Amino acid sequence: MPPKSSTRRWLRWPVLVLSSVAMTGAYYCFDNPSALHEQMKAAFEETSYAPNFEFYFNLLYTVIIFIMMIASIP
Amino acid sequence: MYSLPNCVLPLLGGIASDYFGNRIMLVVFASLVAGGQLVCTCGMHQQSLNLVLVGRVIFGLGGESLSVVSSSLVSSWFAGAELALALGVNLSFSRLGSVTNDLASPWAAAKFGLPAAYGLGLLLCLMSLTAALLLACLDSSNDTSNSSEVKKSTITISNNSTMGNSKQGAYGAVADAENDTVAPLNDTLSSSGVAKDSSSGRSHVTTGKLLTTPKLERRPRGTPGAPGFRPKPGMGRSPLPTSVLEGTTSGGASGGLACLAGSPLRGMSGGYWLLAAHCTVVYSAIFPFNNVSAALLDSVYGMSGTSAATSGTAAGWSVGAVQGIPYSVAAVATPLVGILVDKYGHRAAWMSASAALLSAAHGLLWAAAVASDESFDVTQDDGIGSSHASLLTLPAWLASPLLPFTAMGIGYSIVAGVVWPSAMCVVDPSSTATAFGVLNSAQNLATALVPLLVAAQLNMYGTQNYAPPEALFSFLSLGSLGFALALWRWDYTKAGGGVLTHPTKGTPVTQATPAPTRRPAAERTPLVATLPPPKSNSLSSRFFPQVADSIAENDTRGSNTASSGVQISLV
Repeated sequence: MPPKSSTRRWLRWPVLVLSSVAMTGAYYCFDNPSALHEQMKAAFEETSYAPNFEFYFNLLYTVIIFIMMIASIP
Repeated sequence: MYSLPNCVLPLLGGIASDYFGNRIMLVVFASLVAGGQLVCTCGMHQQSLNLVLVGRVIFGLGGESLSVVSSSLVSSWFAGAELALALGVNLSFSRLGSVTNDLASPWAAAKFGLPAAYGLGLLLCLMSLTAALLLACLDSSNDTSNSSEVKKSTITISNNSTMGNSKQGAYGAVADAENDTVAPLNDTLSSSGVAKDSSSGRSHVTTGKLLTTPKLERRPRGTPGAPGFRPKPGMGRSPLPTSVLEGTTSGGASGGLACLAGSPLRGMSGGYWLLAAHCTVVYSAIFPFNNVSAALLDSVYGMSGTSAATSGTAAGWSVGAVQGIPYSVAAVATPLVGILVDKYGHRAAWMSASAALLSAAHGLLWAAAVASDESFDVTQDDGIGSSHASLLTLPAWLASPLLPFTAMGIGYSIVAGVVWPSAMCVVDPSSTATAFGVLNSAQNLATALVPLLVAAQLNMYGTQNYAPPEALFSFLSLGSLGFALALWRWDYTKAGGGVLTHPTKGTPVTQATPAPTRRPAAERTPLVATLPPPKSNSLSSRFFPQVADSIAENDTRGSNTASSGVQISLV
């Protein structure tokens, strides 16, 4: 009872590879800021963000909460 | 903190993809991820954190929903054999992405600058988007090429699912319970009343606890704003909504989720909620522990942060090496566990074993933490002797952090290899994406909340005292063991002989068997109410909707063929 026809069942292996690759980018980027915390802190030292850098940095993660709330209202 | 948004987003993503189809949502989410990362890169280039924030918002809309959709699509391809292996490989790649980021991002930032480090992520996202597009094409092309042999395959499925020796997880329950379920479902079709929910524009056929929607009263699907929207066949949500079990769903904490989610969550069986509880608790004993494990190695085992330990219980091991043991073990072992689960089944037993392993590991760490804390006090009082004196009285292999960390790695491998494919066994196939979404949400919720608890404990009892956090982790592990055992029991008592116990087998059994005969109603009612809708249904109705419909039409005639028709469309 594989859902796909038996002659094309080998296609599930390309499917597996493609889906794995499709997810890798997102997982890579999600934690980009935390992996680059020190560098970002240094890069924004000269800018107007410097006094509130940690706040902004955390906002990079928490901002998604607000979008989620907006999305869930309707 | 960042995992809080992931508590709900995958949930919404799962529901959306059950409505609109995995293929479209896969590309949509991958585009959102890549677009968000593009905006982030621009923001870093412009030195504008505001722009980066905008990018993160867009990224977040795609985010983990992508993995939910991807898992659900993969499981539709691997619904036969090798499901656990497939999801295990998927998870390995996810971990690979996270680990690569930790190594490559600082390197790229040092070598090419900060925007380039984000640009590297963008490149990876574009690669992922390409993969998602190819995947969508591959999936849809295979769907259309199948339509010619729809009828034959569907009949094969019906024969298979009415056989007593069907091997596939969900089929097992069907097979064991076949005589009990077919006839009442027939009853349902012929004598059920139609209850119309005017607010949602949906109609259900109700008989007692069993909510069914046969072909003639097909439930219009769509977003609340667009009633009557119907996805194309094969788009992910089953065109034949089949049986929805009412009353076996959420209670307590999950009630809120059910309200939020609407109908897809109402179809979840009791076993699914046990699985979700197990998943939540067991992951809360793994991921949050990994956050503090470096500090724990430092304060409990006296391992210094930078160099390798020169003496004591883990000589030659640096903190980073020991800390990396669980994930390294898991990257190798998760697909192996997947293969074993596919071959031998017994998923609830695997879950119990993993929970027991984690309990033992955390218990050992708890003991070590208590011992080191006491010796700390002694040292401070006397001013002499090693701060880890009482640890040394234990046998070296027991006092070493290598043992609990390895046990944790094996436990984590089993969790990652078993929990996700098990979800496929206990939910209605039309809502697998929702099921994965809820599991992801629950896992992220735990991953967000437990570190706060641990931080509070460290604040309260001293930042060097890891005995209270380890006590918390130990009890969480024991709790997950409880849920796993409850799931095991549910599997045998309620699911008609163990949907979770059977191996995943892909070979269809083509031998025809006579359709089961009817039985008195009193014998079969309880089983119907608790039987989890197995996935044989999706295989027929999702991919061969027209034929499933036409066979379902025969149901009303009450003949033998009608029985097998019901088997296809409802069981």
